[in-house]
Amino acid sequence: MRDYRSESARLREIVSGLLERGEVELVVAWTEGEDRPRTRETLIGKGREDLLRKVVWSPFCTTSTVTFLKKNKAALAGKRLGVVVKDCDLQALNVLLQEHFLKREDLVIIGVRCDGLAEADLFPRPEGAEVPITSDGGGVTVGKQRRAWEDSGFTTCLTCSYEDMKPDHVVGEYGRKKGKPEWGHLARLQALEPGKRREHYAALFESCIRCYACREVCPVCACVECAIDPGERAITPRTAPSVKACAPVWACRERSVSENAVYLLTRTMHMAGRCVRCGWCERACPVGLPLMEILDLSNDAVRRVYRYEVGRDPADPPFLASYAETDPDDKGAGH
Amino acid sequence: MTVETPTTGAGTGFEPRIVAFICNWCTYAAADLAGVSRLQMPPNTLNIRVMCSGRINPMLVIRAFSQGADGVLVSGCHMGDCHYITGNYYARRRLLTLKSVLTGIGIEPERFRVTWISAAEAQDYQRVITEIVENVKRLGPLTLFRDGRVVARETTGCAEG
Amino acid sequence: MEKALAETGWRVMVPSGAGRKGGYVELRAGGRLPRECGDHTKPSTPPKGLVFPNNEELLSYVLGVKGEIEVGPASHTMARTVLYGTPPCDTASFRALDSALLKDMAEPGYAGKRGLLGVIGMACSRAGRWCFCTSVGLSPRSNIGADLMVYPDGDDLLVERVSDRLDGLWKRLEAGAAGADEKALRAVEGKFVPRVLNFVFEAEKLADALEKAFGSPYWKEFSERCVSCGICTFLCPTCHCFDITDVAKDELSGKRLRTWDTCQFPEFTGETSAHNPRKERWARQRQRVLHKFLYHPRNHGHMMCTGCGRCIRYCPVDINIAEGVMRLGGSK
Repeated sequence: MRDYRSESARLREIVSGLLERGEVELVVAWTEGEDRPRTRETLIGKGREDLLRKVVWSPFCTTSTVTFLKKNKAALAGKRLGVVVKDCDLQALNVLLQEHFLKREDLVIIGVRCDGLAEADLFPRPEGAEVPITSDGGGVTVGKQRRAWEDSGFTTCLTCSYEDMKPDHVVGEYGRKKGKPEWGHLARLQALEPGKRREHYAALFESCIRCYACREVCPVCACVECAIDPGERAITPRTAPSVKACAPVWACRERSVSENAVYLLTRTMHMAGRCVRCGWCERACPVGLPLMEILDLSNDAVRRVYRYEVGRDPADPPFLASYAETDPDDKGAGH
Repeated sequence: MTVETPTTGAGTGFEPRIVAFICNWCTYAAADLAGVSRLQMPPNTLNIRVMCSGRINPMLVIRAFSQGADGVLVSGCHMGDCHYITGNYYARRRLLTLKSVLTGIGIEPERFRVTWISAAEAQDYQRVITEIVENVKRLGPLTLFRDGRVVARETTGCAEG
Repeated sequence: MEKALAETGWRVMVPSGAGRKGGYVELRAGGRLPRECGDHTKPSTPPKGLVFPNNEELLSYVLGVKGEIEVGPASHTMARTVLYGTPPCDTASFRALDSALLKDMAEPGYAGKRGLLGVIGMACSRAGRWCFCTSVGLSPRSNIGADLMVYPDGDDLLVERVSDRLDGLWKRLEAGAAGADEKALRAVEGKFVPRVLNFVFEAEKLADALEKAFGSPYWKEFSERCVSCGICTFLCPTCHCFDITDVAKDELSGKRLRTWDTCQFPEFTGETSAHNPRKERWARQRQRVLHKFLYHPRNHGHMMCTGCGRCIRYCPVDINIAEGVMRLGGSK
């Protein structure tokens, strides 16, 4: 059984130590939120005892500290940072390091071994200052309430197979054997004949409201100027008008099947070999789109056909920036 | 939700629209040779010459389908023969991953083809074009992206509320 | 009520499903109206989409063969609709939207549809974890924004006439059942008890406090983990910012489209010169909070926030507007 109180205490020791000794200037870690057991990413500097005291690690650390890094890249540039990462976060960090988006030498990586995540809002608000959170192979317990992993709201964690993290410091031991699970959700969909599959995905595309939350929360969607409907344009007062005028519009703002599909399919392709299956896009989606059902189409090809492990090591070449002589060809009608 | 009406089969008069991205050095030359040799092919393809199959951004294929193409073909040089040495290797990995995604959402594999045809292989070009047009004709129009309109391009005006 | 509504022949929209998979949908023929409402039945998407759609055609154009341009206005209309069963937080959103979009100058797209919408609000029987309507001057029994208000009482329904917009329906109902008078309303009060929160926002004091806090360094801390996803504004029942795009169908025709936009996107205030007065996330979050609790109240006399709690519940990084406001000027 894992006791997250003691793991959090150990984590606090490590984080304090790094800050005290000046090994890092700032640490990005989860702290207890106002609405426990929710947590939130926080930037902690030396001397911030008020924040250090609240540093926590539990299955409710459901956001990605790597997203925090990507969003605050400019503000944190050149600073030596400590970052607390779960397994999928470390994968995402490795992807960003592979692409030289971040520099390894600027980072001290503190890994927390993750068995899976749980939705804080499914558990009653814990009373009192101490929040006993524990987990085992079967589920998560907060105080007196226990839920099985399957009922805790994070289905992508059930098909996670990552248990190989190699950070600079590590906290916790795995309490659940992950193995290499089958992606049943995908198999069921692929068993449908094309017409039914088109209906299913058309309904998904139609419901998208193009809020782009999936893109913003994703730890590896880090381009300053996104190719599709950029939230931020990489322009300065010196950018020539002709450059601004010729920015291509790949998907019109209209919320329709065709335009939404361009956005969702393009994001899927830009995630090919980069998606770490953290599932945050799906959980964040305000209209509940089952986004992993699209992303896993490329994730499945990457792992099964190309046998590429996403985010395994910062020195690995990125998936689409490499090739092999053994890459399969189009089998025509049978591919 | 799109509703699919049966439009396949002989006599329905459906003429598929196929977008073909063909590389300048190999397949485009093959197409040229096929033309000069008067090889007969269905005229349903919109041929777009690109310098290398490696130039093909998956967004081009996605946008072609979403704008009304019933089928898309990408064709370049054989592996090892790319004019730019490695362009087609990257294209193969990229486009076949894309094909997994497209077939996954229900776009039949016959609609999106990735082939390698060298400059001398005019008959292979004829065969591939004929195949894709006939297959797509049989499958019918792709209705997944149809909301009843075809968008050619857009200009953005800005106003805030 | 079902019978009376069916007799009118109007389209009836009801909340269906709670949370992310829910929405306001058309009641099918013979379908049952919701019997209660609360946080447990509240869809993640608010009802504003009925009168302020995500995609709205503003005009269309066709270029003729001689170069003449024909501009077709969009029909800013819809079927006569009744929205039934909204909780007070959603019902009150129409007060804010009407002030913003109809006062001074009626926005044609909104006005055209709003005139054809009747709102039947329902008293709320269960607050959620993130609800705070009582902090913004509302309550589970608030009828602000409603034309009729219903109070479910077991199998009975107490109906209160709030405005004259749905008088046709009201007369049909009067024939069948008793209306709600003071006594009857007091009798059902017990079902709709406000959740006790430890904070209350007094509109004027709060507005003053927030104005003074404009330069506070707290905004940076508040927005530190914001990812500018826009969920808070898309799901907010009163947010109504929009973007306008011209979409060409082909060389000769096209339309002008209005879509939802959000002050949280960096490009919302991006100017052609590349200057952006709200380049930082904290500047944008500050704008959102101040719009709700300072600018709108000063312009229209009521807080724009209805305390529905969606922005808190669905924010992917746990940013809490009530928490922020409390830090800067709320009172206990």
